[in-house]
Amino acid sequence: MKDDRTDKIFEILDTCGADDYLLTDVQTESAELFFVRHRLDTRRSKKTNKTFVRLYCAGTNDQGERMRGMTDVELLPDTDEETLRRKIAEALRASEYALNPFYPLPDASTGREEEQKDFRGMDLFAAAGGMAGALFEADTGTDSFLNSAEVFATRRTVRIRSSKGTDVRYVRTGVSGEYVVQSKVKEDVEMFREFSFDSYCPSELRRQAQQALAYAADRSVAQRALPTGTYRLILSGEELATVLSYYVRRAGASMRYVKYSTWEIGDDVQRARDGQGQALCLNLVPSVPYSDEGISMKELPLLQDGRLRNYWGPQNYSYYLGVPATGSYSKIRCLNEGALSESELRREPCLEVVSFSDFQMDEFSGHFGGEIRLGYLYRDGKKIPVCGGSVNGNLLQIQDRILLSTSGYVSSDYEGPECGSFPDVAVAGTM
Amino acid sequence: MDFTYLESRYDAMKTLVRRLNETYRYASLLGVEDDSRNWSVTGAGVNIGSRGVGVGTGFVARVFDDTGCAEYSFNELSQDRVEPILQEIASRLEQAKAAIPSGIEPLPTPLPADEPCRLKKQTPCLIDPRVLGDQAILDRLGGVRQRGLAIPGILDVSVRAAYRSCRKIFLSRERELDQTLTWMTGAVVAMAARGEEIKDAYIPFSNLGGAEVLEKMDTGVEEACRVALELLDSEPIPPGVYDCVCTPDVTGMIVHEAFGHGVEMDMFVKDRAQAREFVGQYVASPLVTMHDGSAVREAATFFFDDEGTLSSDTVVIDKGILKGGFCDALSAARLGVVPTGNGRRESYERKVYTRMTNTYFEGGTATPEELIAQVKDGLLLEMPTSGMEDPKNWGIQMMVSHARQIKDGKLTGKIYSPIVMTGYVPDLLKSIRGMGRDIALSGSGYCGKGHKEWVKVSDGGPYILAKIRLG
Repeated sequence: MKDDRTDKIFEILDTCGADDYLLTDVQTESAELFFVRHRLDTRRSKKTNKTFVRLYCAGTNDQGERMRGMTDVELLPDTDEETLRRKIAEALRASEYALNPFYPLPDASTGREEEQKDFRGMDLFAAAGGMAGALFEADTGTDSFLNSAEVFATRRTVRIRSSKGTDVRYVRTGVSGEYVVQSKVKEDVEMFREFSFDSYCPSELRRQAQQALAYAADRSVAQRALPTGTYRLILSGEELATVLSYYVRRAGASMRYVKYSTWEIGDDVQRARDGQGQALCLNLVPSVPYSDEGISMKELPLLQDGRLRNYWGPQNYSYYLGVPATGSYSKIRCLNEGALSESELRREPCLEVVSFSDFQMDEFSGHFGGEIRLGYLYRDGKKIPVCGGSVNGNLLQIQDRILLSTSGYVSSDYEGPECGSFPDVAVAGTM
Repeated sequence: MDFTYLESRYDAMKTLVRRLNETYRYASLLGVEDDSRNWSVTGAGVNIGSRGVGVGTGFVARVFDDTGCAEYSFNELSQDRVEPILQEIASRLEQAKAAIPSGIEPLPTPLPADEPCRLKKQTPCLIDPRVLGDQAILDRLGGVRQRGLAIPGILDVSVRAAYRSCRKIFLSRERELDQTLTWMTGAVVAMAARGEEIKDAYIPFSNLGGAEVLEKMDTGVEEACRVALELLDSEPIPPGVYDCVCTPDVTGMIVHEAFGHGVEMDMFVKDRAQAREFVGQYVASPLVTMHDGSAVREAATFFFDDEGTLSSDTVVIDKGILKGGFCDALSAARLGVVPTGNGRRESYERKVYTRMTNTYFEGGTATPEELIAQVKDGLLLEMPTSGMEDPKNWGIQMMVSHARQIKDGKLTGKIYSPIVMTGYVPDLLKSIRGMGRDIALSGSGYCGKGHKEWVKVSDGGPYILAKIRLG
């Protein structure tokens, strides 16, 4: 990405009066396929080149303390020099109004990470087509079928450079999408599923689609027969990850800095030691090799036996807290070995919810919940498919009694035990 | 706002559309030039940013070949680049053809209508935030925050504003459309804490226009702080079915999430919407008349959609009877109906879907006090927080911040939180037995299709009285 335009941008940045700058070039290509049943709806593709500049200015506050202003601007790929100069000057002027306590840019780092092996040399439409093929291969049953699907293959080439000498680059390719499965065994119902993989794995998508198709058939015969009450609740996969994200959010340096979180390193934040549950061991896993500030990202211990090991976050808040900046994370690796076997997990009575319409976790209040699209009520020796009603739990009240399954689960957001058991969760039923 | 980029690329856009139309059965080009800015004053600091949801300057070409519809998004265009772009599109169509799994046939799609039309319009903007300036806006937001922080017991107050102005030019063989749209939104979030538990209250603001929204933001911070403090003493609600009075923003969430998504007609094409079977039937109380479109001025008002269809005012429900849905151009062609101007993209980089715009219930005759007075034992629902559609099965999933207890027609002061609304959509809509006189719309948020494709929408209506299952 070295060309006349880039040279010109650097020349302007070096002479514009900015205290520091960070320049990010992102090239994105995508191939996108859209299907209705087994028919091709639309084909799309994309090729964009974007340049983002963060400009930092120096300043002081009324008390004479050192401050730093920052704002950003996007520079279009075919912008003329006059416009480049004007945009950068405007952004620098704006940064003077957004003064915050001083923080330095991260130390210079250099590095380069190649595209994941799976995708090297692979045409993006071939990747999207291969994943779409996996969905259609799963769609062989008679009780349920694939209603529609969207498949995206995206390749991002990123280069980050700063006035401190940082120069890192990486290529990241992924496949993602969503699909809807439908069943008309009894009621005409559907279920919505998303997927996102950072490796080319049609067989895993096929497995997940087969499971979704089975769930759709169960939802079709599910009864609105869930009594209101409190249940031992089983959550799995992405919903379990969503509950665990409470600990991730609360450990964010920005949350700690503004005192929304009072957690200190070493605190027993889960308070599980004297409870009947498992003390959680959670790591944070980077989804890109370098943060948007060019910080090299590593797997980061978050909780060890329920105690906070690290904050995570960008340079400014980490500097304010006096901890190393790590970049931002979204993927959790749960290191706990499961405590419950398959049969122990679903010991009666309990409610296992495998599909919500939209599962929410409030990191401020600890409340979690959502409307039940499909659940299984284990009662009187039966596994009863149920739908309707809603879960309304509070993690703070039950976090010392969480138990995890021995079976495992992997996605782009979570890796660890597949299921969690949460006691005494309020459920508004349908009867 | 002076949008010079698209102006400078206009001739190249014309050339590209002409050349595409020489090769393909149908071709169109949408160019978008964006100007966006957001400001926030929070405990985390002062921030000015230029990135926003769906913001971006670039182009998307749509063509129809023998297989059907295909699109290519890009952000570099000049006369010199027209031929390389034509080659790129042809090459990608070949790659796609080779990648389609065996046995997959195209979905039959008639060519979209392309009636001749020329248009150039812009929405009003009384106070241009770029002219007002960053410092004046941040001072205003900072002043609101300080008033909140002065209230005892408040942990923090965040005050935000965001603005987007964009110019869109749509070109096809027969159409030359040009519009400039400007909206501005704001929000006040107050937080109060007790131990580890934090309660927050959120008050949104929006308008079609510019910094005039800041006037509205001067009110609201005291209410947000009062509610956040009240929520510290809230109790979980006993699950059950209640008589509920809904504020206009909660009504808006019902309109949008519970019913609006179900009449997006791309869902009819996929057999994903139960509403299709109910056209012409009662789906709601006779008090209910529902609209979607640009007949009102709010943040989602526009003159033409992202496929070059002129906007309209669609009556979805007329006195309780479902009249029909709203539609993008491709779905309209597939269904054999007239598109309603609801084909919208998150950005030039994304696909068009049928999307809502400004969606609302018409007003009735009652005052809020008259509705509350009708409730012997029930709740006043306030401050929607999130919702999710279920067009196929008309299940309701919506969350509101809190509910205030009503006994014998009066608020008791007791407050429950959080509140999950659940149940079956027609049951709720048919149970509406009171409709407030005045309507209010809010366009502070974005709407997703599933869990992505965020577009600016507004929704609202009057206070309503209905029976709702809560948990």
